[in-house]
Amino acid sequence: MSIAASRTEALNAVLDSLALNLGGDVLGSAVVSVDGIVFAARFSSAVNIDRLSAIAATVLGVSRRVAKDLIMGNTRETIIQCDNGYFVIYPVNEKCLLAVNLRKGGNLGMVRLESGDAADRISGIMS
Amino acid sequence: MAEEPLLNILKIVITGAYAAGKTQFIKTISEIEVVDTEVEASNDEERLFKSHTTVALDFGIITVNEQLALYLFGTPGQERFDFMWEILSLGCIGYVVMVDSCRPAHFKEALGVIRYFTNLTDVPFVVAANKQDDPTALPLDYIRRRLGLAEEIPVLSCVATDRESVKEVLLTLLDRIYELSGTP
Repeated sequence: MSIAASRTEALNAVLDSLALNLGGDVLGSAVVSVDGIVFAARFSSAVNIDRLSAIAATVLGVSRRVAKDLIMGNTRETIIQCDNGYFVIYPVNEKCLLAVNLRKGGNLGMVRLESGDAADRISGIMS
Repeated sequence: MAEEPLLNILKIVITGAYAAGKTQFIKTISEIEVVDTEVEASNDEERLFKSHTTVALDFGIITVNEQLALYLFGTPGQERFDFMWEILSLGCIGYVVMVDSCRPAHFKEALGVIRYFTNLTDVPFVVAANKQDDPTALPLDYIRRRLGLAEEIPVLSCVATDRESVKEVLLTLLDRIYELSGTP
């Protein structure tokens, strides 16, 4: 198996365990480069993952810009709360981010905890 | 306290394909520190041309005179960010399409950007053929032909690192905006 393929498999395993640990709160998740290219994703086929990945990179870029202009240190989490759920972005390192789509009423505290662990694992895989 | 003079603010978008020099263009002319959103490029093909890329927007301001300031909004170049092209085009009264004069292989992408923008908005635009100081730069009439541009669309020589050159492009765009709106 190629390095890229085994890396994708390892990332998919992280996304799967994230979904498993959050017991149905996760509607989808993805690992994306900070310039918007998808590395791994678990989303329904109804979602255009290439587009969503670029959007996630844009959102993180803007979040980091806000943090920088207000001199508030690093961005740790960006939450978009919608009528029917959440889209949350966690920076993993300087190269990539973790994006998580949660159902309405999903447990944000648990997501934060689990996503932190997932981000650490992703960082290990991507370095 | 002195009364503030009436200041018109015009929104101009700086767009174009990947690595055409959009961020540089704004950095060269802006009076404020440019609000950029650059990150490291990860894709090998894209890294060939530069190490960093804009993921959301660039923002700069240039005051033309006491009555007029331009707010410059730079877009990301890659098509995957086309949702930002749409967002940034809202309320713009003219735009600059930047093209790298030395990379004919990318003219197709530039054409894609022009098509996208002309579908989004009817406001006037000019094409800035960047890197015209490079010995390998292709001539303006060739670029015009390759992009299939109508005669009335200005194709301007540009060096994005040169303040006078950037200014000239913006002034030409302004002329065209006034010309088409029928105001002096």
